[in-house]
Amino acid sequence: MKLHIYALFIIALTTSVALAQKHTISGTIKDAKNGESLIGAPVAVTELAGVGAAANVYGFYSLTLPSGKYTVSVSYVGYAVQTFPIDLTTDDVKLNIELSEKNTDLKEVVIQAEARDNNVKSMEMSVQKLDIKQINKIPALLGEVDVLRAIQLLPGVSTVGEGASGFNVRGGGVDQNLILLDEAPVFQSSHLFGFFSVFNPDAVKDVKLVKGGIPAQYGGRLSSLLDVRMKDGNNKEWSGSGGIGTIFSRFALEGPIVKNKGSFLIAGRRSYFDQLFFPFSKNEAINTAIAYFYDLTLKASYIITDKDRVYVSGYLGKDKFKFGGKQGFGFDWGNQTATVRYSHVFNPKIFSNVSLIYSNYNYSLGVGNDTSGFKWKSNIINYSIKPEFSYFLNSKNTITFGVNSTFYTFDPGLFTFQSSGSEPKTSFGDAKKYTIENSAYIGNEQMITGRFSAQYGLRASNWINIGPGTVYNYKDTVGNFKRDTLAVGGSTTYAKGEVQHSYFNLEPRLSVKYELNESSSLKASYNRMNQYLHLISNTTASTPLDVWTPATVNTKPQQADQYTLGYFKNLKDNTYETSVEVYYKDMRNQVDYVDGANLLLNKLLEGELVNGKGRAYGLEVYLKKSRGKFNGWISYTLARSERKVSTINNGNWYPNRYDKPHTLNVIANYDFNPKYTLSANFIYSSGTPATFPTTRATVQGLVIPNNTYNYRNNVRIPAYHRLDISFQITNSKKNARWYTIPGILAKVCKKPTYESNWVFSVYNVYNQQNPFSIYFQRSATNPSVTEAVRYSIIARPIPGITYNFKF
Amino acid sequence: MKNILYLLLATTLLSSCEKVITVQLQEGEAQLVVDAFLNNDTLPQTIKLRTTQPYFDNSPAPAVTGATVTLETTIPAFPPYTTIETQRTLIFTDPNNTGDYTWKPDASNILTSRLTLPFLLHKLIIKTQGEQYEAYSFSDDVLKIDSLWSKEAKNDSTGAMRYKLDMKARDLSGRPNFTWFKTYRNGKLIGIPKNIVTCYDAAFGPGTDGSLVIPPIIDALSPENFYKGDVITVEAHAIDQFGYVFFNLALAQINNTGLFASPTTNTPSNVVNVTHKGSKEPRYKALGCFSVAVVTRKTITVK
Repeated sequence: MKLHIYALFIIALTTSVALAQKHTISGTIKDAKNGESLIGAPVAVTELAGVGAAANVYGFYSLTLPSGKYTVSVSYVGYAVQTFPIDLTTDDVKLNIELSEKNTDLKEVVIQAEARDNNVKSMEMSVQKLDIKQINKIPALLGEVDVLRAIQLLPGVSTVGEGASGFNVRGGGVDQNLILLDEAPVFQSSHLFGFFSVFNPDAVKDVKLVKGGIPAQYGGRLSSLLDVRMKDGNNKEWSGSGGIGTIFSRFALEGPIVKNKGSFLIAGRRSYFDQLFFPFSKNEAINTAIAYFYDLTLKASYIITDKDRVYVSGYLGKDKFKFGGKQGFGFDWGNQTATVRYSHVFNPKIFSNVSLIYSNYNYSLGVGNDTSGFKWKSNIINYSIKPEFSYFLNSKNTITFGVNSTFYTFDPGLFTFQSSGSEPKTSFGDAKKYTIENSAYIGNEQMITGRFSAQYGLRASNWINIGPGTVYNYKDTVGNFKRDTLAVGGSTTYAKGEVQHSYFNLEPRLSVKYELNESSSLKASYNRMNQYLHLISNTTASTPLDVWTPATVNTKPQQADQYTLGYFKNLKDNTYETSVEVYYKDMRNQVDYVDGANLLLNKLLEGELVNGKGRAYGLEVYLKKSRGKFNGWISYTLARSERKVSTINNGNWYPNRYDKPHTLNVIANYDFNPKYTLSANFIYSSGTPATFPTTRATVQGLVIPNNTYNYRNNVRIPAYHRLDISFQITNSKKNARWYTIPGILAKVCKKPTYESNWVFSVYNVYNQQNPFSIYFQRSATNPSVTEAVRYSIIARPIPGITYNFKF
Repeated sequence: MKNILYLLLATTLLSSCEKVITVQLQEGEAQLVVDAFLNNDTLPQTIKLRTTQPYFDNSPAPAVTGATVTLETTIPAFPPYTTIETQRTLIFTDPNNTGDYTWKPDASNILTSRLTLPFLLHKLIIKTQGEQYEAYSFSDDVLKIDSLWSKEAKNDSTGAMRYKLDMKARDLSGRPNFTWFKTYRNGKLIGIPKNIVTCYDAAFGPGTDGSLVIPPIIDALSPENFYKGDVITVEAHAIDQFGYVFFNLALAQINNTGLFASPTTNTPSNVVNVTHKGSKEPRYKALGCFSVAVVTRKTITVK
């Protein structure tokens, strides 16, 4: 009933088309230097206070106004303000705008590439954006800037610790983040166990993290949306950038395919510690080891006509490790994504985009070689089509709608083994699973009065498990034991294309904003999310080898309702931005495991899963100074994340491993002048929960730890704190000598400037040995003694030097 | 896995660190611990009854004395037994009050010459402190070690040749089998307490029924270097499924360290308190495992 009222509400509001004569101004907003579209650039009408529009992710804007003459201005932080007189008395106007960067001696620091008052005026709440220029300033591990490590400094975002893959948003699991790289889902965002992310900073244009108030356009994950947009590539002139660091090097090249129309970008990274250090080690285990990662990011875009643009982007990355020589133990993982997007402007009011998406995440594990040993390979592949439309109805309503259909193939992996060269190869494991996810959404962003705005929408999602395949029918749960299949009718076999099971869910979304005055606003939101994927992992920290499994008749989709309320205020002419937000998240159908569950290669895996529920709530305080020589931010999060599962912790609520009640991040930069920048960050967070034994039992010489009261996560390891600093020296040279290189690089060499940048950093300055975990073991020197061991991943200050260049 | 990461981090200029620290632990009540891994050997069979002790208490585990320990088995009516189904009760005694309850096979009596044969169901009954505990175990047949030999590994630092074991043993086909391998070097059990070598069929889980035991398991039979002249015995015990699960869960908790640690959970027990059935009170719960196995062994001299 609630939903019916909701639907009526939408229809009523969306059909309130004004009757007065109106015309539309539309076009694109780009950077004059390289043709990159400027996401979120605001267009304001001088004559009409509060009326304006912002460029979408493709740089397109549209604004419908009553007939008349106006002055529109575009002011984007870091760029010179431009104003244009517009005559909308008789016709629609098309205005493509190119903005130039401000040409001042001291380049203004850009923390956020958007309107200065966006914090207060925008409909968005629980949203965090980071410009790549800002990310570049944060002191980084080994001097290598990283998108995901930067994200973890924002309120509401945390991680179990260094070396844990993925990140947790507002008390959600690492699998609950929808990570999109140019719209393609990325299932594993980590290189080297989370020390670095798969996103090459040279190729990234814009990063946006949505923690709450998620618009109807997005779905499929419970906790957040991380939208990473790649650069389109410079369509005006050739340029390049790169860096040489201690652990890996980067290089990116971009340029026009057809000047002002087509562009490309290619960016790659490869680590070389295996090449630089391993061969010289005297330790046999090291000099025979293989350990490296690489990634390649590609993008091309072409402006076909004024109304049509096409984009092609791709990513290919791999992490590979092998120890113990030929007969040793190895594992690897990698993502491949490809996106083709076509955007079309039907008329000044209707913008559309169709995306075709491919994503493949694969990982394998093996021992030995081809003639003797075993290998396990697993992957998740999906193909998606996503037409989307924006209808700029009038200056008060922007309607978005679209559909999305995705075909998934889950291959949980076959274990192929051969006992010896003369034995036949044998495979076993779980069969492939096929599913289709369909969704449709409609949403409207509406200015109801000058001060009161709302964004509301509805998303319908549908999940279909299809054959070929076998569905197992299980007995009811009995305590903390795995469930067996029914003695009679224990399994049902389905033919290719046959529907095994389906789910249909409606997801209402609502955000409201009330502007208290020019510099402050109140915002609130509600969203329901459904997630049809589960990440099967029984390790306390997620690893890249965890298995993704679909919701089926036996494993229900995850579902969450999130409620948020926030107060936003800017001070001193938007120099300071502040916000305070509270949230409550209620999560259902969270998977957990019976004791001793066999999670790998188990076709009866679903019988080992138990269903639990989760809750997370918190308060986030954020203060940011975006401008001036001294800039940065402070964020504080007070939060809890808990879970309740009948078979764990005696059926009582217990904290998740990533539950951190207090988190404080302080990020400070001081720009002495355009050449020198000093940056520091300080992090403090509560220790994560752990389960400690009370007693021990000795059986067959094994000293087995035991918790008499069967508690889970009843103690906390000590708090985590760390200080990092970095110092950057940036040099700009004009007409450097090597630009005279002839031949194929001639085009490149015409570039008049060469910018170099040295980054000196120290991570963990005061040598805090933060515990990742505390574990209990028998002493290696005296096996009759049991001891507690503090395990720190990083146990000394880590210096780093990186040389970056740009031409 | 932890070592791999340690290596990786060490070589990438990062540095992980493990430091022994002092931790204050919550106190827990003492609980009965049953260590009852029995087999069909002609040697005396022992069941150890102990209690749990504070985790950092490094003294020997406290013995449970004065208990009544019996093993009930239904002996079927087929060879080598008698022609009528018989209820057999064996009594395990602890004359020295050490908590080690022992029963000796009697070669002169067909019923009691061995504790078990393949395919018998055993019921263990323990009465202590007014509580009665029971556990069941079904003995299965054991695979055959077709051949066992030593092969050259690599010279050690002194230049002496090191050897390790190789083995050909095929899992019994047609049903899940669980095997516990024990290696003795010159009569001394090695590997424990670091590792317990077990396999599910020929590998680590269902799906390898009837195959040759795979190399990672064979490699684990050589937890240390062997040299020329060493007398090595490998025993295979056909433990039951619970025994297999028990060892693997216990080892998972014992070696639950580093980056890929899983949440700490208690190792389950198949010993059930029938006096206070279903009680969640810790003092009524028992820990440990009861498993009856048929055993086979092969001995070689390294040459």
